Amino acid sequence: MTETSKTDNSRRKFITAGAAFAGLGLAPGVHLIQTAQADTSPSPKAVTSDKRWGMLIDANKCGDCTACITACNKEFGLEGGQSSEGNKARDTQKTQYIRKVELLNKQTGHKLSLPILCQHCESPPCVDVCPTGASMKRADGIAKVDMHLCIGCRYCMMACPYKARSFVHEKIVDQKPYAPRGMGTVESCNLCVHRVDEGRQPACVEACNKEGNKAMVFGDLKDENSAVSKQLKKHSSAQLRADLGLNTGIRYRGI
Amino acid sequence: MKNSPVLLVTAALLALSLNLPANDKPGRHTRDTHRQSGTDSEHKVIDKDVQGKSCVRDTKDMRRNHMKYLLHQRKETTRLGKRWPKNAHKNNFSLERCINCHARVKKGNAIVPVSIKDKNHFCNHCHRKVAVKIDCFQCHNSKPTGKIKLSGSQAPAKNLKSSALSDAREK
Amino acid sequence: MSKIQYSEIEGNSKGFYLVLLVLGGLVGLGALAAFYMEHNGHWVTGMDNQIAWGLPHVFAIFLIVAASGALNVASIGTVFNKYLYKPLGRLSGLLAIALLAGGLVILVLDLGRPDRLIVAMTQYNLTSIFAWNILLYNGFFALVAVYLWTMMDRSVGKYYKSAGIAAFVWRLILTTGTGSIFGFLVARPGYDAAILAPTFIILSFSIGLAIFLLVTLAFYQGTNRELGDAVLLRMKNLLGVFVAATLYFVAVFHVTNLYAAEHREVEKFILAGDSIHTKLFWIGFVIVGSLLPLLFLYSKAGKSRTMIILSSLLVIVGAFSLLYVVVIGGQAKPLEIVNPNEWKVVSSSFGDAVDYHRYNPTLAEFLLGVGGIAMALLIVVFGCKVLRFLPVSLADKVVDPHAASK
Repeated sequence: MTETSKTDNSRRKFITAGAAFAGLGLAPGVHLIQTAQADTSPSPKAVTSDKRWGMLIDANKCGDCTACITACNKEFGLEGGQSSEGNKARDTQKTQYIRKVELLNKQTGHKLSLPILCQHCESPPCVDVCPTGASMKRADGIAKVDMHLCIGCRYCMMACPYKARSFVHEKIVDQKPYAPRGMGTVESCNLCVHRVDEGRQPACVEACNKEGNKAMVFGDLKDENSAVSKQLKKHSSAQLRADLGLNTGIRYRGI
Repeated sequence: MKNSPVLLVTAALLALSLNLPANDKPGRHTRDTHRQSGTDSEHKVIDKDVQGKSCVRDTKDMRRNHMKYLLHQRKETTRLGKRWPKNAHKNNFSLERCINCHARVKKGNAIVPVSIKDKNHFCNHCHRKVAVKIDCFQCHNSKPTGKIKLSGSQAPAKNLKSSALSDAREK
Repeated sequence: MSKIQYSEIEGNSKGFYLVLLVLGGLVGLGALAAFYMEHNGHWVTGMDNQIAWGLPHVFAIFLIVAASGALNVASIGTVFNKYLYKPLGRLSGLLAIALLAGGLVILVLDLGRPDRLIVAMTQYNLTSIFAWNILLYNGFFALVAVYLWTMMDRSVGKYYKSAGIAAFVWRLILTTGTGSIFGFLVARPGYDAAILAPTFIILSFSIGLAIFLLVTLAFYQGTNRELGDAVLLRMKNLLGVFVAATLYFVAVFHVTNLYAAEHREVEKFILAGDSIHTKLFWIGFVIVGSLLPLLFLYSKAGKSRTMIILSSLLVIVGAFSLLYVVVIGGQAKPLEIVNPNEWKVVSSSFGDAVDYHRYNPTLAEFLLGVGGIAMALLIVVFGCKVLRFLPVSLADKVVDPHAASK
């Protein structure tokens, strides 16, 4: 809070000073390419628990499409379990935020293809076990890793019931500026937090609806008018490992 | 959006950027940012040639406090989800913005992005000298991935569209 | 107790320097291995996203558990007033500190970002058992150091008893914490059991004592000091009790799990599978690590020092096998994300469909672990060289006049 008020104060002084200098006519002849109009923009607000981001995945629609995985790997610059040249990590050491698990019902022979990603639990075991608080859940329900604090102990990987977390086994360069990731820390799906904060959909959901089988709906679970809430109200849905009582943010239809 | 406060702030920005060298102790300012302009003009660090003509704070302040600003913003963004609008010029201390302007050097007429491995990377100028290890770039990209706009006189206009600068963010 | 004379070991023989050289070399190799792993990243190890904790963790947990167990000898003397054990209290405390240090070094050097140790020491998430363990480890160092101080310095001798009790209670909590690192992992059927905490405590009793016996025998043989049978045989019998108790707790753990349908798959995998874990469990832990030592310790030949040494070594091998099965075997089965009775996992890019995850530890991981053990022993040797940890004589008439006169 103190930091914010200091900033505001300096801006005020700054504008005053600017006015004085402008009057002296120092400006002529110089070509400015970016105005500082946004300096007056208000402080951004912290996310709150008024929202809870979640997703409904219809397993019956999903089929053998992998658009979500491709989109996720592209968004975060992952190889998704495939070795590429120059990379040293084995396939089992590669990061996967989202994966498809093919299932066969033992009694009925029914086949299912399930995209599994971080389930964004309401009470995430990864957050409970993390010794430093690097494993965290934002107020709006997004579970993720604050890599600044991660010491790479991998206890969260032991605790996660969905195997949603990966450890970065090798050096990484040319990261996406909106998605830093680096050797020696743990990472996982963060529901494309950089997109969500801009009001966009996670990459997997966007791809699923654009190129895929439209099996994914994303939105605010606390807003009863959101598409995802309406769907959840209409159809029955299930959580993975509901027996653990984690109240996941990702729900499934058709399992 | 062109109204009077905008003009005022614009002028203020400009005034500050023009005044800085005069207010600062002579020599100190030139030491690192312009250190190599005399001997090695190939690698002059761009700081005034791009974007809004000035940094988010004046040089003296940034030199002393950049780590505090970065740390503050890091906590707010990562943990609280506070995101400044991309064009909130004086208040957005994102590392991405630092890198986007500063981590470029002139090579001949072209302006090329460099990574932290390059000794002329902006951060290296001081950090190598004072031997303070930077922990940022194990995870963050040290190389600009966004576009920059060059200001009038200094901009080698023909090179603007050169391959070095066309590595626009893929979105 | 006041009659017992303590002295530093002489430490100028060739043998002494050879020991130092070997231990120092192993520590050096361990350091190199750690540097190699940290420089390249964990891709050079056998660990991956399926087996997140590997051989270094087996070594580390072994040493941490052994550390609290090594303090037992001192505790029996102080807390339970068994004067026979009191002369060995100092060595017991030193060994406890050294083993814990060795274990923690392995644990820290295996972190993805060991350079951020300061973060681990300053940022605590108090819902994390791991964070509690960090506090418990630090507290253990401090308490045992104070305890040693009250043993070695007359001027604070009046606090001896309270320090001893505090350290004893602390070590029980510490091992509970270590066991709970696994016991609280609800998602993994191989771990999720409260009985893991007491199992770890009883396991610590047996490996702590086995290591203590070996170290004591080595010191007294190596320095030609007298070590009477009275104290040795007492400890030998105690070791047998602990080994049997460990076996009992592990049996209860598995039998309970067998009863629960949801854990049956994992139990089948550990107890009746075709993986290394089944072999390690039955041959390594049950036969070699428990039944054989029991047989040796309580046989007629059990009073010979060779048998005591052999049994102690076997107990260590057994405990190591058990911890390997617990740590790595517990991760080997893919997580059951959907009900395994209803669904068969046909394929997955992330290893959900394999029967179990293989783990092939690399030399670097092994050397890091051995380096930790060597460091612990180096601390003990160094400690005994510079301070008075060892009684000059542990002959029967010195430690127990009554026993000697019998």
